[in-house]
Amino acid sequence: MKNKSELLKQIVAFEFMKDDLALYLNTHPMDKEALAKYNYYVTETKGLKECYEMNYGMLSEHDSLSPYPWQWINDPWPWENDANFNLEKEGK
Amino acid sequence: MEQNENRKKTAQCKAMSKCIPHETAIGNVRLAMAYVPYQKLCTLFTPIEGLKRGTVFPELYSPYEGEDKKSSPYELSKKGRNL
Repeated sequence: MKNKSELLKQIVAFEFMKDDLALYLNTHPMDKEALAKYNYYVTETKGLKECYEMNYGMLSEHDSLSPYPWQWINDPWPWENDANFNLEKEGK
Repeated sequence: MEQNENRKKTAQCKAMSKCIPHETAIGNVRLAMAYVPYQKLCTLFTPIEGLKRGTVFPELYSPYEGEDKKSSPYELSKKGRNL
């Protein structure tokens, strides 16, 4: 089981994968291989988000279920350092 | 035609190293028109690598590395002198 920050990083990375594949598919709508990859990441991302919210709390202020009491204010705000992961720059 | 293209691409992708991520010939060209080669899917970065690089397509990864040597005035004038 990944820790909170690792899981968040993976979710963001998978979201980016979906975004980029979607751009490719806009100009290549008949590319079955790309479409399969896109669909794979859509499904995987849903699972990861579910896993995150079950274990670590709300990912979104407007799109996540919350137990009582309201959970959104428990975590650091999204713009705070503690709410974010570090992405090491690729080596140069 | 479309199917042929796809089959060709699948064959290319099986032999990973031989996969060229864009079309290599552009047909029906006209003068005074600009063309962009059509991208073809080969390999992808892993999601994390893609996030770090800003693209999941290795063929589109092109980080800014300061001055472009080929188009700098210095290089052009040097080339001019050699000619």
